[in-house]
Order: sequence, then structure tokens, then C-alpha cells
Amino acid sequence: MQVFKKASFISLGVLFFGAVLLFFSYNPETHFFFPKCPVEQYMGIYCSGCGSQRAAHDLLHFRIADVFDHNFLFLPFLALVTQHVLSKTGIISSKSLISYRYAPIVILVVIAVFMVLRNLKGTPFEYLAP
Amino acid sequence: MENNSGLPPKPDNYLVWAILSTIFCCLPTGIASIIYASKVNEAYARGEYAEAEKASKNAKMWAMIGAGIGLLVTIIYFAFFGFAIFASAADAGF
Repeated sequence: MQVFKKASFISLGVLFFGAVLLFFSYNPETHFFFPKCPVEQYMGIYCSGCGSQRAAHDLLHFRIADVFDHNFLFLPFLALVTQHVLSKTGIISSKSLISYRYAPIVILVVIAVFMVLRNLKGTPFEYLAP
Repeated sequence: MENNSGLPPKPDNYLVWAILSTIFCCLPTGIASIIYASKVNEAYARGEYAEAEKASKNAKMWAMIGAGIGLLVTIIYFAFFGFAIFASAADAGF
């Protein structure tokens, strides 16, 4: 079990840095080999994850405005996940925000509202589209 | 945590994996995982430990399915386009 845990930890790390390198080097918008979101492709709607690959590329090049433009929730949720990891590993002493009782419901509502809004036509909403 | 001092510690709700999977990958499995995560919290708050543990198992399963699908699709995708990537990397000069 301990060995398995170590092995999966290391492979996750390798995958993570591989992904960082890949998303730094190539722009998903102009390179064809990045997988398209299946929800967008087959159902024709934008889901909450659409635009995340482009957002990752933007973030690695420090284009923060473009990150929000491609996926508005990308940075806030990345911050939540980072805070959770820092809290669980004891690097910061505050409690993990997503371990609060109502965190799952709040996140579910935020994602649902975001997904509906980014599929609406019209001026304020198209900023949310990927 | 909540006023459940008599209960064993709350089972993991795997919410962080659910978030990762919804924002960075697969929507349906992520949503299922978030719903089960909230069930873990609610059942535990009501003091129903067995129920919370069941929801925890489901939350884990859906998070793993999401991560598994994402990983599998990515691996197949890049195995398929691997040559193109290396060709374009060679073009780019590294």
C-alpha cells in the first residue's frame, strides 16, 4: 500500500510537470493535437471546464486577463485547490475552505449558474463564454 | 467538526478531486462527485455515519471515474498524435 501510494504520487508529479511543460510550450488554440471538450463537441454547449486548456496556457504566460476571458472560474478554483493542499500539508495553519459543511453545495450552485450564464446569448454573457 | 463528538471522524468527501474534474476535465462525473460530497457532509451532520461513509465511497468512485476517463482520453489522444507533436517540437527547435 505504501509503495503504491508513493508510486502514484510520483507518477502524478511527473504527469503534472509534463502537462505544465506541454501547456507552456503550445497554444491549445493554434495546435490541433489538444483534445476538444466532448461536451462542447457533441452537445454544442459550453460546460464549466470549457476553455481551461487555453486558460492554463494563458496562466503559464502570465496573461491573467486572458485566463479570466477563457474560463472565469479557472483561477478562483485553482486558488481553492491550492489553499486546500497547503492547508492539508500543514504549510498554512488556516482550515481548508472546501472542508466546510456547505462548501459542496456552494460550489455546485456556482458551477451550475456559471454554466447557464456562459451559454446565454447577449452582451454581458458572451464574456463568460470560452 | 460539527457537534458529533461521539462519531468517528468524518469520511473524506473527495471534494478537491470533484473540483479538479469539473473545472479541468469531465463535467458529468464531476457533478455526480460534488453531489455525493455534499451528501457526505449532510449525512455526517445528521449523525448518520454509515450513510456518510456510503456517500464517501460514491464520491470517490465518481471522482476516480472522471480522473480515469480524463487520463485515458489524454493518453490515447497523445499516443495518436504523438508523432505530430514530436514533429512540431522538432520544428520549434527542441
